[in-house]
Amino acid sequence: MARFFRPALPWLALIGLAAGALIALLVVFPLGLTIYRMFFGEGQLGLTGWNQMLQEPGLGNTLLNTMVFVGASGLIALSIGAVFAWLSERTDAGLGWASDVVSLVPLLLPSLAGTVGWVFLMAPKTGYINIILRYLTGSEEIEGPFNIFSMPGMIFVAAMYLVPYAYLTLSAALRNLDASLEEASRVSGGGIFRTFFQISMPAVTPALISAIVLILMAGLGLFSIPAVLGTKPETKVLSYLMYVVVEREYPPRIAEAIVLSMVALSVIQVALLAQWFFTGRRFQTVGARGLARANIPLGIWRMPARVLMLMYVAGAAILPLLALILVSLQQYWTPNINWASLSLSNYAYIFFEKPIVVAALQNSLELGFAVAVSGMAVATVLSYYISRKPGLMTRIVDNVAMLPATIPHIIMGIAFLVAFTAKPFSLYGTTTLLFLAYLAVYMPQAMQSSKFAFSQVSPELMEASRVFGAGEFKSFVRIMMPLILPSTIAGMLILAVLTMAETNASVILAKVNNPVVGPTLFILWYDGLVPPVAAFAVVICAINGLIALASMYIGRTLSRGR
Amino acid sequence: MSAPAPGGNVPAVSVRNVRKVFRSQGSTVAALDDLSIDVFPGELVVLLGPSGCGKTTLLRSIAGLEIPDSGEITINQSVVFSSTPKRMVLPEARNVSMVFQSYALWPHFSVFDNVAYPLRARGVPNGEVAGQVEQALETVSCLHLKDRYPHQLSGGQQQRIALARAIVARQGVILFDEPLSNVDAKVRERLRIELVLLQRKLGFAAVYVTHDQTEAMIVGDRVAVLDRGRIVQIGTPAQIYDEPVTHYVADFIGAANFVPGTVKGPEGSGLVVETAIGLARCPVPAWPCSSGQKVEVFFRPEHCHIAATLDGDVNRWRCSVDAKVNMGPNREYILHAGGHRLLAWTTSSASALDVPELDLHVPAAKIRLLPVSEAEQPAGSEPS
Ligand SMILES: Nc1ncnc2c1ncn2[C@@H]1O[C@H](COP(=O)(O)OP(=O)(O)OP(=O)(O)O)[C@@H](O)[C@H]1O
Ligand SMILES: [Mg+2]
Repeated sequence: MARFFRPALPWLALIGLAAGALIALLVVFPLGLTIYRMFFGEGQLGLTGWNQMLQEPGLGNTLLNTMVFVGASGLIALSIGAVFAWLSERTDAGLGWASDVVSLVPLLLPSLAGTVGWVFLMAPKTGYINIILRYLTGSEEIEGPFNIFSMPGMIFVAAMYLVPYAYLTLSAALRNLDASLEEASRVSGGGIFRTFFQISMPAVTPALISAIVLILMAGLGLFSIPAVLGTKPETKVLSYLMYVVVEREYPPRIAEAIVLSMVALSVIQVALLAQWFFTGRRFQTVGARGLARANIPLGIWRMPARVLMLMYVAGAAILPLLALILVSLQQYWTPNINWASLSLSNYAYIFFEKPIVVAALQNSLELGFAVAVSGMAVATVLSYYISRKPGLMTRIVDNVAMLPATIPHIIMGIAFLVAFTAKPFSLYGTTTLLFLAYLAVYMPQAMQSSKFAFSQVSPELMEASRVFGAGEFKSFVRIMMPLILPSTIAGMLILAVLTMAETNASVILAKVNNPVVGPTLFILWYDGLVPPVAAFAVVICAINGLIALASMYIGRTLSRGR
Repeated sequence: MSAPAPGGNVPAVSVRNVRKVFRSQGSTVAALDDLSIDVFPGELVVLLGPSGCGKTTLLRSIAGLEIPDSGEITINQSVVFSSTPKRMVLPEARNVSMVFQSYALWPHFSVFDNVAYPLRARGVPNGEVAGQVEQALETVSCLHLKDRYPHQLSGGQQQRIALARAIVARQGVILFDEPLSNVDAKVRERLRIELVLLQRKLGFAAVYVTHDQTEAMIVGDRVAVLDRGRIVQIGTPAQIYDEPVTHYVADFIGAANFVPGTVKGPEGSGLVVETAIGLARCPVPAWPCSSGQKVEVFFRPEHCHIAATLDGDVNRWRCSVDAKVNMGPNREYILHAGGHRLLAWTTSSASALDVPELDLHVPAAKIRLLPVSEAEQPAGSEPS
C-alpha cells in the first residue's frame, strides 16, 4: 500500500536497474552458463567433462591431497586467527598496529610473492633458514632440515595466508561482545584459558562458523602456493589441477575444468548451506563498536602472546620480503651471499630487457585504477538503491552482487573463460575480459566498502536536506557525496591493491596479449629466472604497500575531522 | 477536553485519522493509531509521552519523511498527504522546517553554509542569502560563529545553529524532535526560555516533541499526551496538570497519589467515595459516574496538608510515617494508610511533624476522580 506513494525516483531507479543488469551479466550469466555446460557441452548433450575428470590419473590422490591441504592449513589458520583476534580485542596484549598489519599481509605481499619468498627461506638446499640451522647444529648434510616443496611446507605457507580470514571475522565479532561476559568469568575464578574456550569462543560461534566457511572457500581457491610448491604428482591439489587442464594441456580441457570447478563449488555451497542452517545468516555483519571494551590482563602470558603475534607478522611478511630483497640483489640464486656483488642489475633486467614485465605492470596499474573507480561507482549506486528501496528485488540484487565472495577466483576465471571467450563476446585474451572478471570478483568487496561508507553518514543528514527544500538528487550530490567521499576513496585504493595482487583468476584469463603482474611473475618463475622474479616481486610489493598505506592514511585522517 | 485555540481558526497543521503500522520480524506496532491533531498559527504544541509512543513518527509524518498507511495531513491548507484520494507531497515541497534531535548539521559545510542551505535549495537569489543568514544567526546570537564548522561548536551552539537553520526560510511551521535532549541541564534551561521567546517573537507554529514533562509544561501553549499512538489528552499545561482525564496522564505528569474506591453517592454539590483509607469527598467529575461505580481517587502531594493532629472531618485520614525526604524547598513525607502508599509535600520543617503517625488532609476541591477501565489497572494494586 504504502509503496504506492513511495516517491518516484526515476533517475535512481534507472541507474539502479542498470547496475543490477550489469551484476546479472557479470555474475549470473557466467556462472549459469558454466553450470549448464557441465551437463550440455558445446551444442550437444555430453558428459565429456565428467569422463575426462574420471580418467584423470591420480584423481583420488588429488582429492585426498586437497582435503589434507585445506583441512590442515585451515585448522591451523583458524586457531592462530582466533587466538590473535582474542588477544588483540579482549586482552591487554593487543599491539594496536598488529591488527592492521595482519589484515594487510595478503595485500602487501601477494601470495605468489610470499610463497617465492618462503622458497628462498626454506628450499631444502639453498633456503636461508636451512643453511643457518645446518650451520648452528654443525650438520654435515647438504639438505634440510626443512623442505618447503612438500605437503607440510604447502600447509605451513597456506596457513599464514588464511589467518586473516579467521582473524578479521572473529575480531569483528569479539569487538562487539559485552566485556562483562569475560569479567564475570574471571571474577568467578575462571582462568585465562577457561575464559577463552568456555566464554569468548562460544559467544562468537556464528562468526567462528563463518570463518570456517571463508577459510574453506579461500583454501580451495589457493592456487599460487600449490603451483609453486606442490607441482609433483604426490602433492597435487584440486586448484592446481584446474590450472593444469586449462593452461598446461594442449588442447585445453575446458570441459574437465568446468566439472572440477563445480565439484569444488558444490563443496562450498554445502558448507554455506550448513552455515545458514546453523546460524541463520550468510554474511557476518560488522556492527558498531561496543561500549565497554574488554581488557583482560594476561599477566605473565602477555609477553609470550606478543612474541607469538610478532612471529606471525615476521613469518607472513617480513622474512619472506627480506629474502626476496636479498635474492633480487644477487646475480644468481645462490646460498653464498657475496655482499660485494649485490647490485640492482635484476631490476634493470626486468625493466629494460623484459618488455612483458613493463607491459604487465602498466596493464595491472591501469586495470587497478579502472576496477577501483568503476567498481566503487557501481557499488555506490547499487548500495544506495538497496538502502532506499528495501524489498524483495533489492534483496536479490544485493545477494547476487555478494555471490562472488563465495566463489574461488580460479573458478570465476574458468566461468569467464566459458562465458565470454565464445561468440558474441569473443573477449579471449583481452584486457576487457580481465576488467570484467575483476569487477565481478571484487564486487562484494566494493559493496562492503560502499555500505560502510553509507553507514558512516547519519540518515538525518539526508533527511534534513530534504526537509530544507532539496530534492533527492540534489541532496545526494550536495550532502551524501561529499560525506562518503573519504571512505569511498579508501575503498577504491583497496580495490586497486586487490586487483594488482590478483593471480588466481588472472592465470586463467591473462594471455601474452594482455599480461598482468600475477601470471607474469608466474611465467618468469617457471622459466627459472629466479633473481628477476625476486626483483619483480619486490616491485609489486612496493607498489601495493604504497597504495595500501595511502588508503589507511586517507581513511584515518579524513574520518578524524568529524 | 481541548483548550480554546489561540490565533485564528484555520490550523497551520492538521492531522486527520492518521495510522502508521510498522512491521518488523513478524510483529506489528501501531506507531500512530487513528491520531488527529490541529496546530494553529503561532501556537506551540508539545507532544509528550514515554519512549516508543509514536511522537517521532508523528513528526516525521508531518515532515514527509515517513509515509502513513492512511489518513490525511494538511499544512497551511494544502493537503500534503492523503490516502484517499492518494496524494503524497515530498518533504522538500512541504514548506516546513525541522530541528533534529541530533541537530543534523552537515559536517562538511560551515555554519554559514548550513544556515544558507534552506534558502539556496529554494532558489533564493544569491544576493539576498547572506543578509537573511546573518539575520537568522543574529537572532540566535551566533553571528560570530558563521565561519566555523559544526565539529568546532559546543552542543549548545550546535543547537542554536540548528535553530537558525530552521527559522531562516520563515516556513511558518517548525517541527522540533527533542531539540534539547543532547545538552546539559543548565544549558537546556536557558535554551528552553530562548526558544519560547523566539517562537513568540517570530510567531511560527511549532510541534515540539519531548518526553520531559517539566519541559512540556514550560514551553507548551498546549500539551498533547500520547500513549501507544493515540492522544489521550490535549490541553493547556494547567489543564493537563490539574484535570487529567486518566490515570495514565495523571501519573505521567508530576507526582501523584492514587487510591481506588467506590462511589457511595452525592453529598451537597459533590460526591462521597468509599476507599481503603476512609471516605473521600470531591467534586462531581466531568465524565458520567454513578453510585456503586469503581473509581480512583487522585490528588497531588503538594495539595496535602499534614499535622500531628488536624481538626475537621472532611478528607482527613490518619497515616503512619514511613520516611521523610528532603527535596530542597519541600519535605516529602512517605506515608501509608489502609495499605496504600501516599506522598505528601510540605514546606514546613517543624519538629512537630516528627511523629510516627499524623493526620493528612486534602481539600475537597483538589481531589479528582478518575475512571477505572478494565485495561488500565490502577498503579499499586496487585493483580489478585
Ligand atoms: N522504522 C521503523 N521500523 C519498525 N518500527 C519502528 C520504526 N520506527 C519506529 N518504530 C516503532 O514505532 C513505535 C513509535 O516509535 P517512535 O520513534 O515514534 O517513538 P517516540 O515516541 O519518538 O519514542 P522516543 O521517545 O524513544 O523517541 C515504536 O514502538 C518503535 O519501535
Ligand atoms: Mg523519538
